[in-house]
Amino acid sequence: MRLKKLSLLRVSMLVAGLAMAVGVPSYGASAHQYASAARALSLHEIGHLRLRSRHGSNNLYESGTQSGTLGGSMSAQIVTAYTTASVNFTVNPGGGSFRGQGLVSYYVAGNTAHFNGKVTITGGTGRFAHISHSQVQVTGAMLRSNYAATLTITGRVSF
Amino acid sequence: MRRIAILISMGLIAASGASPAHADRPVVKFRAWFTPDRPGAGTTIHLGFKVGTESGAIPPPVTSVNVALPPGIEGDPTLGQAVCDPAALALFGARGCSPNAVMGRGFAVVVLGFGASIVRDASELAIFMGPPVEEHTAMVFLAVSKSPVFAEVLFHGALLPNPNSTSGALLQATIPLISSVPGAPDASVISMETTLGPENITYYNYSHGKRTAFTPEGFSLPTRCPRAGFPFVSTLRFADGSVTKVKAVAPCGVKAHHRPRG
Repeated sequence: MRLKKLSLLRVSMLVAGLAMAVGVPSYGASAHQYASAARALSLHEIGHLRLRSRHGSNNLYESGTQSGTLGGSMSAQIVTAYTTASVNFTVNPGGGSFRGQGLVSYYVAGNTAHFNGKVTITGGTGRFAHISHSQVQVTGAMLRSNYAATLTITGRVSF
Repeated sequence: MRRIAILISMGLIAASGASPAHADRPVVKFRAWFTPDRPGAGTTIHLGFKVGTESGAIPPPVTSVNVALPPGIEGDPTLGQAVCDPAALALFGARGCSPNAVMGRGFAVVVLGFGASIVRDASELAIFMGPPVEEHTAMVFLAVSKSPVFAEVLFHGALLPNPNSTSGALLQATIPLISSVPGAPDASVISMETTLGPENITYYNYSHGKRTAFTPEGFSLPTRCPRAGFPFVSTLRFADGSVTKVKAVAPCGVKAHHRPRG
């Protein structure tokens, strides 16, 4: 009987350990497994983007690598108008991704177009699933001759 | 800006001290149209103004022109691929700037009063991409007249958000007063036509020692044009403080014989 109890205890400990390892709730698991403190992050992501496709003449789909706090890759849809540009971006640093969108100011100086404004983080996946819907600053420049663009995203988020 | 240099030897100055005064409320006729105007085409916007008065007297000088550009035709024009330095334009004229900075062309007719005589002066107009101003696309206009008076006048414009609309934009130009002879009224614009787009514009690319000519992309008409056309609204301000607002509709996809005549 005692042997049986010890075996049951060992099994329970093994199950609890496994549960903690994979994040599955186990009996008596502490609350901190779920309420792990939100991580605050100062973003500074620079996307080095190339045109992948166009829909019409001012609806651009761009993607490329990104450098900065997180690194990884970035993709963006940029729709330009006379003085504004709608920017939808996805940042993919690995382990998940997050996205944002908004309307920024747009102006042209010779062969370079410039973007500047605030957009809102709209959601994320993976480790960014609970990312705060913060406002972040987007600035950028794009060569009008080949649509190669640099897009910089800065701001504070938590996830 | 440069003032008009009057060629006295042409004998255009009248001895009489009386000069035709600017009088009456200004009356403006405004036209807007596209070339080409077929749906889906890259296009050039044309804007035309005729300024007069109710009594037929010389109108007061125009001091600014705002044109509200409609949404739906923005496209991604590749106009103005170089920036023109206004100082270079003032010193050297059009030769002071790259041809890749040209965004449009046109003409203007001004009237100058010399005593009882009225002289009409025609100028060629060119619009250049200028250095941005407060994060707005900016333009520099150069008006050059050679006869009967020689003059070069520079003025500035910008593409601004339209405060009265969430889409579209305001094309704004500020026109300086153009002096003539002492004692005579400033010159008055009585007609002006200009383009914004690739028509009659050639850019050049330099690569591996070779120069290649090409035409920039214009604005884009949608593949389905609105039946009512595209509305343009223009506000002209005059030196006497008066303001005139006029509207025009640029047809799109309408057959040639149905196009409105100016």
